Amino acid sequence: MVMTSSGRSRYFILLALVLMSIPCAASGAGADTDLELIPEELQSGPAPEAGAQPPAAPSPYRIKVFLDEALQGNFYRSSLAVPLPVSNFSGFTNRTSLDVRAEVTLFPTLSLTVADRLNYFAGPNMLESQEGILNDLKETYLTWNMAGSYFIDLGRINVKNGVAIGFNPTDYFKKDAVTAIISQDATVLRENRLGTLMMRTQGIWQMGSLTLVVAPEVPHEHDRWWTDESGGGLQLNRTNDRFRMLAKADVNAIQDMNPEVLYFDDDGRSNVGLNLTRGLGDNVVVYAEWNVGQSPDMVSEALQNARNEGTIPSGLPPAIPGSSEIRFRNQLAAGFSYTEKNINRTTYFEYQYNEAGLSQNEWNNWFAAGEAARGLLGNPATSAVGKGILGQLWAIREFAQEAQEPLSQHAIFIRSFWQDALVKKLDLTGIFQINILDGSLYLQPLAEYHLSNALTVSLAFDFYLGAKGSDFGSLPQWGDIRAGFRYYFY
Amino acid sequence: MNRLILFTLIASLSFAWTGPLHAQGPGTAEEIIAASDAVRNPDKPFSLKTVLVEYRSGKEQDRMVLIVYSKEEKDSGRYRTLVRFIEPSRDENKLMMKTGNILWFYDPASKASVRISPQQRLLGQASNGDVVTVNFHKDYKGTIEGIETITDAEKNSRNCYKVNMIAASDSVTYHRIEYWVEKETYQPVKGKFYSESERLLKTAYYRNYQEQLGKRRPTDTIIIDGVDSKLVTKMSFSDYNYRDIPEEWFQKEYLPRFKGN
Repeated sequence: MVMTSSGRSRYFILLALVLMSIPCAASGAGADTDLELIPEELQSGPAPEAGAQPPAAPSPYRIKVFLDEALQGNFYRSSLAVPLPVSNFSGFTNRTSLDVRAEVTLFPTLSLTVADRLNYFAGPNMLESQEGILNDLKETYLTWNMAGSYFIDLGRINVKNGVAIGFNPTDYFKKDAVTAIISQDATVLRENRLGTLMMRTQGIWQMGSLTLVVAPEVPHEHDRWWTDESGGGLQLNRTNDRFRMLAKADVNAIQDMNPEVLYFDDDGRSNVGLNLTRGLGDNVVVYAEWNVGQSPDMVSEALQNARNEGTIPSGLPPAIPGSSEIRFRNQLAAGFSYTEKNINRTTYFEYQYNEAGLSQNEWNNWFAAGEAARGLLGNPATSAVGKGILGQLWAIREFAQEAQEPLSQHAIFIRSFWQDALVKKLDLTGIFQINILDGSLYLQPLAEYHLSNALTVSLAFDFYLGAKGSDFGSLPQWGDIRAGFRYYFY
Repeated sequence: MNRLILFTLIASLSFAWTGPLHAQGPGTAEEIIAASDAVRNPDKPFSLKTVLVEYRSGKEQDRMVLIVYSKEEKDSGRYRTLVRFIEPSRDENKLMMKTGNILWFYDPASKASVRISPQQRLLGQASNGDVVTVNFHKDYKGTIEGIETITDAEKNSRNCYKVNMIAASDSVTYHRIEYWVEKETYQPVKGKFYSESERLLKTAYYRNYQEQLGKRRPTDTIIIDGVDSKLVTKMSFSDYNYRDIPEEWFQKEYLPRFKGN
């Protein structure tokens, strides 16, 4: 067929109209296949129009109550590089805790906060001081809102400072505040520690805030209601054994840095701290927390602390040399968090430095002294001396744990949290604490499954891995398994 | 005849053109995005209740209830948002605060404030960016791609601007958004949200428009996961109220003192 000129024109007009109409048809009302992805259950008709509701008045009280249960099986090493002076190994332990937190508005400008945890510990071969009922009155304080955003708090308060995750050099009120080390996870321990008796004044403005804290020293009298640690006492000797004062300023002066400057007077010893954070892109946050403070080194401070508490005789010479010189020493926790975009998993990488902690040379001394003490145990005439040395060596390690500070000078901390991992409502956490000096490590995998909005079950393992003569490899326990649940009543 | 062809082509182009309009027509892309922002977001500090329900294959999987407090920053025009967790019980009274691209998360149990990144999700499938109040016209550069008639989530035909929005900085939740805004009312009807690698992250439908704080605003958003389309989140908004929100609420140090008053 031969097409004429006018025929070709009509053909082109028709073709042009068809071609131009293609995008319209493709984006037309009938082409939206996304709508088919909305399940039928969600395709209900429009909801009835709701009238304007005035804002609900804040409730005069807020209360949270939960039950925490954990059964733990413990696994021990058959031999240790440095034996314990007294062995009390429990094959399993059980902890049941009832945790209550309440905030009550007494008057429009006056409120009361109470947080308490009642624990019941059970298990074979536990020390008498570790077994049975232990009540931790974590917080009890009054808050007076003087005007606007000016506040005065008075009572036992859990003050937490610091932007780091695994080690907080500026968290000055953490020392001795944890009564039961139920986990090696710093975030868990923060939930389970005693507040400090103090008066806190705080002003908060658009440009930042200023906080002043004064924490008095309580009389050092054993077994009184304010010092009793056997179950029902306030245990204020843990949190208020000396005078302390803190001044803290948060300044919004530098964009995206949130600088926080702290000055802490620890019974005459000065500390200066700094917290910084900064976002990089949409999935990285870098942070640094630094403190420089007057102190002896950890060996010297731990042994002096043990002498003061009477756990080692005051006349004994130190088992290993330490520096009792009180001078400015640095502590640093610096790292970053990284969130993966495709899955809901965030990992923190943190370097930890504790100048007062054990250097490689001091670790060598620790193991050498332990080896020497072991040799003394076999002879009845020198056994007591050997046990005295071992008591000192393990007191150093216990001190670091209770102070919540790294025992070694250099460490790496990694914490990874994966929400809705593999299946919905399953959260996985992995924690690594690595001693850079000897390569030993602590490892905790934790799985939590939320059976309902109120009930969460969990399973955790702890592994302390390394050579016999290393930080984590020298611990009596090489691992444990812990199963538990948490049920929220309110 | 040639003039007829030329006329026909021009006429066809004028009816069927779906390419960029730039500043032509009833408004620029920026104006259209800003007008649709004003539909979603009240013009004064406000609070609302957000209920997030996650469904898998139509079956409810998870539910969260939040109270969201928002206030526009005068200088930047961006919203600052404080989110208080109400349900589930284990998360009750936790707080998330967003000022610019700085996010803090506060847990009353540990009394610790932790800085988190915009990508770090606390809300299941919904991102933080879905829950906090966002003025798209401040964070994205837009281009009008054309006018399309699409079907909304209530099966009504809507004549919409199709706007392509590209993130103005790398710190926002989504790199690119395809956004359908009804031409007459500037009501957002649908959005498709993409990652930097052009992967479809989610598709959202805005529906159940109701009179709230002086304007008809969407009270439901249906979010379909871009990877697993069986995963659908319904966000319901209620209890809109203008609120007196002091500046101090957006300070990290205020988080332990926040009572929702």
